[in-house]
Amino acid sequence: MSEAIGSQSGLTRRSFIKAAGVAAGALGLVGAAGMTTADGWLAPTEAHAAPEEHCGYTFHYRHCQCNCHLKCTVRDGRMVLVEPNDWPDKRNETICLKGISEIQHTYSEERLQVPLKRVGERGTGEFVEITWDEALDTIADKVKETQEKYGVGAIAIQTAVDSLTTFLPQLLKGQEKPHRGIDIGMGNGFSPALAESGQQGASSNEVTDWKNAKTILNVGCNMLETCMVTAQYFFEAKEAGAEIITLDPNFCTTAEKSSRWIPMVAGTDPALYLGMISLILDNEWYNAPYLKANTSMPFLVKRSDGSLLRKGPVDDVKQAGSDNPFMVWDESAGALAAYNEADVDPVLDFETCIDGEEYATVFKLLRENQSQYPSSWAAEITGIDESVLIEITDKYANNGPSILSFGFGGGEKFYNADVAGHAAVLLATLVGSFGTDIPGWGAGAYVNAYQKIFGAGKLASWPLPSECKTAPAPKASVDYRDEESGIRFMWVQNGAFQQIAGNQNRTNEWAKSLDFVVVQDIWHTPSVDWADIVLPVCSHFEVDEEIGFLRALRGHVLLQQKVLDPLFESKTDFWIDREMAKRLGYGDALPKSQEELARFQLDKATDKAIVGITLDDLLANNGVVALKNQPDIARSYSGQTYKTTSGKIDLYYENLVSYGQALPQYEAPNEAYEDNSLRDEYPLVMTQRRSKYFIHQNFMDATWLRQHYEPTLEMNPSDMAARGLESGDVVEAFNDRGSFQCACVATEAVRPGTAAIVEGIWDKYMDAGNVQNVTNDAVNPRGKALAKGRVTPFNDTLIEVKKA
Amino acid sequence: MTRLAIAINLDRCTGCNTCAMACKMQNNVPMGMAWNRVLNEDCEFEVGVRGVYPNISRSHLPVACQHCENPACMRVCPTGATYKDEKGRVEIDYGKCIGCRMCMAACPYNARVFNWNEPVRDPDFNYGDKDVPVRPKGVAEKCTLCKERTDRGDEPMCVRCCLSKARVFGDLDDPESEISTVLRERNAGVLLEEQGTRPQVHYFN
Repeated sequence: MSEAIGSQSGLTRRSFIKAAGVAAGALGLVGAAGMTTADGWLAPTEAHAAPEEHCGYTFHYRHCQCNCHLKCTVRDGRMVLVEPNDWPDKRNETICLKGISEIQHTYSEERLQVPLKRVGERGTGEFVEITWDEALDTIADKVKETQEKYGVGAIAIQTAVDSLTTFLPQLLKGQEKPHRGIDIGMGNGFSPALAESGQQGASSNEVTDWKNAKTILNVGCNMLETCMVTAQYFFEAKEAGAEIITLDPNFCTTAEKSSRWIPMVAGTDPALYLGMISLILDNEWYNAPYLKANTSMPFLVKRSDGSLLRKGPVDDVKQAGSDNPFMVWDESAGALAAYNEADVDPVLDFETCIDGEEYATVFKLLRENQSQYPSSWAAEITGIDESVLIEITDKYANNGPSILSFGFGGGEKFYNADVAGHAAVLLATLVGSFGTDIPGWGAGAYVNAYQKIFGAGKLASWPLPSECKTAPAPKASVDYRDEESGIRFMWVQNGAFQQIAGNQNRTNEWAKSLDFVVVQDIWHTPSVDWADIVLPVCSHFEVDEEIGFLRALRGHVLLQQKVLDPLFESKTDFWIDREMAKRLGYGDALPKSQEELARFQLDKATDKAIVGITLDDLLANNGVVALKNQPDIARSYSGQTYKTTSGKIDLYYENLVSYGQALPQYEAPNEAYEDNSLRDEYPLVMTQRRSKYFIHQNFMDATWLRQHYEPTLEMNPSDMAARGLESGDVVEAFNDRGSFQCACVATEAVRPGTAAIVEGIWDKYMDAGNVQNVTNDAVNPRGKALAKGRVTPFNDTLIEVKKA
Repeated sequence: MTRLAIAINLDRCTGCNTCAMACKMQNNVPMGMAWNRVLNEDCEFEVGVRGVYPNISRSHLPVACQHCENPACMRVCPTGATYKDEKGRVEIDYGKCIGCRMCMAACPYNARVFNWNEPVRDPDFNYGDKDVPVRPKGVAEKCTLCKERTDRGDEPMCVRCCLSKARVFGDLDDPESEISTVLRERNAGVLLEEQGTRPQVHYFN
């Protein structure tokens, strides 16, 4: 028996109350404190003798990446049980506390019930009820007016992962999610080397492959809370003997359950990877034959301008290597050779002079570049002991198969995220992580690949008239809130005003300047208050016909079926699409029902994983049918195939030569760096973290979850003592951008000099302000040259905290 | 004989509270009460840890009725409302409960909760399993090992929903059951062994 349990002298009622956390004391989990009576709630037992009961099946919100499919029991018209549905693969039979909380959350007081029209000033949340016709006619008129006055690009729609909108962006013809800036930071640097299709740093293998690894480095990814369905694979790997090493400034749940936690300074991820690269080079722990055969490491670079040497003149750095080969130095011939010649034996570490120009291999340049970044330097920057850095690098390189895992939090939300991503893909390549098909090797964002890259099928797209297509964001624009974006009309879903940018006060000012704002949402998120017209949407449990939407994710086709009739006057996203289509002159262009759309998506699919699966199959299997021909464990780049320019792993980013980032150069965070003089005023680095309780702003109003969580700024006790603070004190967190107020809580899980808070909290649950009021929205100019544009550096934020 | 029980792998428990929420749903547990809760050991807050940064640790302990072989609650119950059933579960006959709360005082695990007032449900209807009895004000209640589900041959809802697969349900009297195997092969133990209650719920690492 563990000592912890054996040493308990008695589980007192008092210790229960204390141990159950903040919420227990306040809400009285034990006893009567705070309870109110509600006469007549208790139905007589007899009333349940023969209740009408049936089951409905639907998918759940998927912004957590999990794609749970649920069996929902409905009794007398109300949803009373939500549990995992039956899947062909039992491992997918999952639900978390959020799914269960839908028993209440679906009926939340915060549900938008009727269409609303603004009557007060924009942002004050003063509305009157209107009819659906008035709401939609008003919007349609405004769409036409905006298009005529400013052009189609003046309308922007911020679609959301958890909206089921399908056609609206194309019908509006405006900008869709311009300059998203979220979940793209690491991918910007990681994905180009591999031509990873999603460009979000998706991992090269599935998390189910972790069980085949011996060493797993998990950097700044709290997957056990943020992508909870991966827990079983995490523990499977650990129990199979993998050493899971989590690097994180804070002692997150994943750090707690890992084999080992290594704390590091927030935002120094590029230094971690660069230091590890130096160790691997210096100790010759890299896989030289792999680098020669499968990467751009032997390619020759002209030192004077950083260009890659090709056989012929180069007009476009993206010209395929097969058309204009990259040049290497052939060892046996002792001469230049095209990289793709038969039997070429390229030299890795080489330099030469040709026609008076100095050339060196990418590998040689990397070695030279890395001399700036010895492990002692990396240790100082990251705050990790040099001996520890050496130890984990040794394990990573020499005790494989190895995994390098990162996520969408931590270093990903810093100004320098693309440098971290580039260094990460380089590091993983040095040890031969990709394309070998050897189980247990891989790198990337496992929580991303889980739902989108692997086990995803392509459903047929319903064709729209050719003029129905979205507009690109203007080239001169870098942030959708700038003048150059040209946006006059904003259509917002899923709490986007609070989610998609740092520096909320700037967002609010911008929102005030717009001509028109539509908010389409299920709940009254803070974004709703900025609307001119509010459209109340059905939850995923409600459909106005028996068939809802389809997904082809998590290795299966997943069908949404009706669990409940639409609650209140809410309508489905599909119904709104159709009504807008009618008003914009495309009434005949859309399917007449969701069933017609679903049948089309399946029957016309050309993806072999889907061909042959019918809607009737789905109905017979309660909405879950396995995709065809899925591998047991999926791995990308099988047989060393890469859709890159050279067809190999392109580690040298020629398009970033002018930014000095052809090979990764360390870049400090924008604000949260060690010797920033701004720290005199704002000494604490603030991290917004995801938690198991919420998916961003979604579920904030779920009372079952709120029994366990209330907004708190988590701080190290030493930082609290220095400010005269005690747990429970209401504090103000502030900087030049703004401030918010909520209770603080002391925990040694938070690194001294930092503060952490769950992101997405609605203003109404804070004592004052919004967490986003303080967050950084600085634009990295390099963003223009990156596949997904500039990252929003949410966590690259300094604050000070005082008693409110 | 049958002795139904749960064994919980504490190495796998992430403290996510899904089991607590599953229990609340299945058993129609009102607001402000919990039959099953997850403690953060030695800590006042959920985000708390033991030790000083960076030398820290955290461990979670899910606690509900331990379904003891020698239940302290049953011995003190003056009306026989608390009983050990034929499948080894400790159950309550709500009709016989007079609300004296002797059982609550006796239980060393604080597994029981009491309906001091009319229960408040949010949403304000009876959710959960249709066969779960609705408890009135003035009775004690606790984990039944999902009697209604386990009588039908299903596993308890906390076991069904555990994302870490930390929970093993089965019959301790069946030597071939998974739970019996786990108890034989793993470092398993019980809470407050010295109390002599002989819990059927086990914990292992």
